[in-house]
Amino acid sequence: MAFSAYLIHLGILSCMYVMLAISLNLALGFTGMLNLGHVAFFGIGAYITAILSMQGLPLWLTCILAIIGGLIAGILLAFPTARLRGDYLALATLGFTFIMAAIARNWQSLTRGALGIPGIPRLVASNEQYLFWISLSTVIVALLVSWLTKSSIGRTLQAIRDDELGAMVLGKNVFAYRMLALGVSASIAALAGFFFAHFITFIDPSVFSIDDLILMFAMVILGGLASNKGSVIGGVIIFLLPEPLRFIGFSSSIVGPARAILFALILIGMLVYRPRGIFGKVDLS
Amino acid sequence: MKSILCVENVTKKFGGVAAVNKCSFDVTQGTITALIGPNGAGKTTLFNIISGIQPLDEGRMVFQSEDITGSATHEIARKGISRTFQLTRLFKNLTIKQNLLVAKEVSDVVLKKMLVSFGVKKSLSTKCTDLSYGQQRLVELARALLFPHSFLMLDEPTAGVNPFVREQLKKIIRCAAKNGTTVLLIEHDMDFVMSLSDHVIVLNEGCVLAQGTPAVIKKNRRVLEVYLGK
Ligand SMILES: Nc1ncnc2c1ncn2[C@@H]1O[C@H](COP(=O)(O)OP(=O)(O)OP(=O)(O)O)[C@@H](O)[C@H]1O
Ligand SMILES: [Mg+2]
Repeated sequence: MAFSAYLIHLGILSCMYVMLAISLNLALGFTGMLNLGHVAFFGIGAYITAILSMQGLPLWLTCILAIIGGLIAGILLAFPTARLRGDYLALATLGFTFIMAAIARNWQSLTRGALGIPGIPRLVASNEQYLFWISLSTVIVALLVSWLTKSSIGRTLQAIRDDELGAMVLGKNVFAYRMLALGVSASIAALAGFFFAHFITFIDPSVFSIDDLILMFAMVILGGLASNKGSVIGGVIIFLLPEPLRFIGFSSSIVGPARAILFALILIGMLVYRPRGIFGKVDLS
Repeated sequence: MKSILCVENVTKKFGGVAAVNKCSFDVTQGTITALIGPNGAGKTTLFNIISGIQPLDEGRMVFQSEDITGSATHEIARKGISRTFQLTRLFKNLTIKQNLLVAKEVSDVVLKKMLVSFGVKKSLSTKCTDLSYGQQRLVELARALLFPHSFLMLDEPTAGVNPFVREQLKKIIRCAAKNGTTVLLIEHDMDFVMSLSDHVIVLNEGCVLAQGTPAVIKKNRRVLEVYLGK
C-alpha cells in the first residue's frame, strides 16, 4: 500500500472512531450512563447495512435504516435497564453486547454465523471519496452532538448525571431523557457501523468485540468525560497511537499484546495524573 | 380557608418500623406552615412521600383537589410542588447559572438579581462545588424558587447558615408567601419557626402530636415534654 493510501485509510478509520467516541461520551460523560452496550450498537449498524445491501437496497436507504435500527436498539435497551445504575447498568449492557454477538453467531440464516458476510458493496469507488463522505458525516455528527449538549436538553442530561433526584423534583422525566441520550448515542454508533461495513466489505461477529469497546472507553477517558472536543482528540490519539508499532517490524503476534499494554499504561497514567482526561471538566463518582 | 394539600392517614414503614404512622393534616393555601419534631420523627420521610420520592404504604395525598398518591416525582413537581433537601442536592459539575436554568429558562439579568438578593456574591459561572455550604443552600433555595410552583417545601432551610443569612431567608420566605406561595417548612430553630409561621404541626414518632398557631404550640404541655425538653 502506498503511503498516501495508508494515510487515507487511517483518516477513514479515525473518523469512524471519533464518531464512536462522541456518541459514547453522550451517554457516558454527559448523561452518566455506564453503557457497555455501545459496541453492540456499532455491530447492529454494521449488520443491518451488510444484510440489507446484500439484498440490493440502495446505499442511502441502508444508511437511514442502520441509523433507525440503532435508535430503536438504544430505546429498547433503555426499558429493561431503566432502574439500573452504575455497576448494575454496566453488567446489564455488557450482557446486551454478548446477546447481540450470540445472535450474530447463531442466527445463521440471517447472518451466516461465524462465516460472516463477505462481498458487501463499497460505498464509493475510491478511498479518497470515502474519506470525504465519512469526514462530512463526522463533522455533522460532531456539530449535532455539540449543539445538543449545549442546549437545554444537554443541560438537563448533565443535571441528571449529577443528581437524578434533584432533576426529578424540578419536573424532569429522567427515564425519557436517558432514553433520548441512549437512542441518539446508539444511532450514531450504528452510523459508524454502516461506514465500517461498506469500507471493510466483510463483517463477522467480531464487530461485537470487547477489545473495540475498551478502545472506545479509552478514547473517551483520555479525551475527557462530557467533552466533545475531548472525544475527537481522544479518538484520534488512541486510534493512531499503536500505528507506529507496525513499522518497527514486530511480528503481528507481538503487535497485538503491545497495543493492549500501551492502552493499559495510558489508562493507568491518566487515572493517576489526569483523572478528568485532557479536556474533561467533570468527575463521576 | 382553602386547603391546598391534604395528607390523609399516610403510613410509611421501613422494615416493619413505621417512620410515618397514620399521619393526617391539611396545609392551608397561602400560609407558612412549619413541621417540627424531634430527630427521627419522620419529617423528612413525610416530605419524600409528598414529592413521590418514597412510596407510601397506606393513605393518600390530595394536592389542589387532585389525588397525587402514587404519581411519579416529576409529575408531582410539575403540578407546582417545589422543594429543597435537608442535605443540599446541587448538580455538582454544573455552574450556578446552569443549576438555576434547569429549574427555569430566564435571562442572566434575572439570575444575577436573584443571587444579589440572596446575598451570594459569586459570579454565575462559579462551579457550585466552589461555594461554601451556606452559599450552596442559598443557591438550592433560589433554584427551588425559580421552578414554577404554588407550593414550596423546605427541609431545614437554616441548617448551617449564619444568623445574617437566616434573617435573609426569613425575608425571602415571607416574600414568597406574600406573592401567593404556600410554604411548608421543616425547621429545628424555634425562634425562626415561631416568628415566621402561621401554623405549626408537631410530629412525634411518625404521628401528629399537636398542631395550631405558634402561640398555642408554645404553651402545649405535651409538645414541651417531647420536643422542647421541658
Ligand atoms: N431509607 C430509610 N431506610 C430505613 N429507615 C429510614 C429511611 N429513611 C428514614 N428512616 C428512618 O425513619 C425515621 C424518620 O426519619 P426522618 O429522616 O424522616 O426523620 P426527621 O424527622 O427528618 O429527622 P431529622 O430532624 O433528624 O432530620 C428514622 O428513624 C429513620 O431512621
Ligand atoms: Mg430530616
